[in-house]
Amino acid sequence: MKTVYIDGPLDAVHLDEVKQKIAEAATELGDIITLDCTAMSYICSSGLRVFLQMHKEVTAAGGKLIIKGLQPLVKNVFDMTGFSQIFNIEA
Amino acid sequence: MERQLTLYNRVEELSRLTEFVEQLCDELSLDAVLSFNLNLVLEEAVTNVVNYAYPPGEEHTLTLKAQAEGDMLTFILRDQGKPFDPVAQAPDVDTTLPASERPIGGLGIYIIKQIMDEVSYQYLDGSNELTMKKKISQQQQTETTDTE
Repeated sequence: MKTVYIDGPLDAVHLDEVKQKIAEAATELGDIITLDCTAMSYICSSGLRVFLQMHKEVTAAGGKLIIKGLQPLVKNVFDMTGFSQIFNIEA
Repeated sequence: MERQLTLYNRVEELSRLTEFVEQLCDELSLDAVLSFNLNLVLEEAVTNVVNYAYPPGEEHTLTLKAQAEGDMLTFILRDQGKPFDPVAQAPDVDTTLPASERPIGGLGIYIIKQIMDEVSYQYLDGSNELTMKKKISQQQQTETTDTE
């Protein structure tokens, strides 16, 4: 079980940084990775795509990606795009 | 009320966009939810232009005009890049598909259409022009009038 802390806005400017952070955590088959988003103030569609890509990769390697602590306005973006049903989201 | 912002086609310019939108939302006394959503819409629209309108490595500008008239807030984004109609060419996003079948693209314009009340595109005099309209509530308008 590994936890990756995502903080600040996940916009196009901070995309690569976050991508790198998650990729560094997902190194072994069957990894269970929690993305702690308590301090993530914003997400754009590129950010959602990074999460989706990682979800696909981690799941394909027999692991699980958990998204935790979404702020209400950010959660709304997940709901609007149907991503809430795709991800394992925990409060 | 009318405001205009000119940006270079660089991703770093998004921080200037955020400042512009936040200031505008403050002036119009828009609530936190709408401010967040408008910021998201405009980032999606501008990112599309920054990433796809011009050949890589070329420096160009794009302009964003914001107008508030009555209860209608209108944004017009203009660039002189290759003609591209995001409204017509956006794929329909099926939000019920499982992760493995979700396509990676098309989300930005989908978000824009979800949040805004009207989205239209035209190619005019060598410019792509994306117009996005959002009705702002009466209460927010009253508050705006009070602070003016």
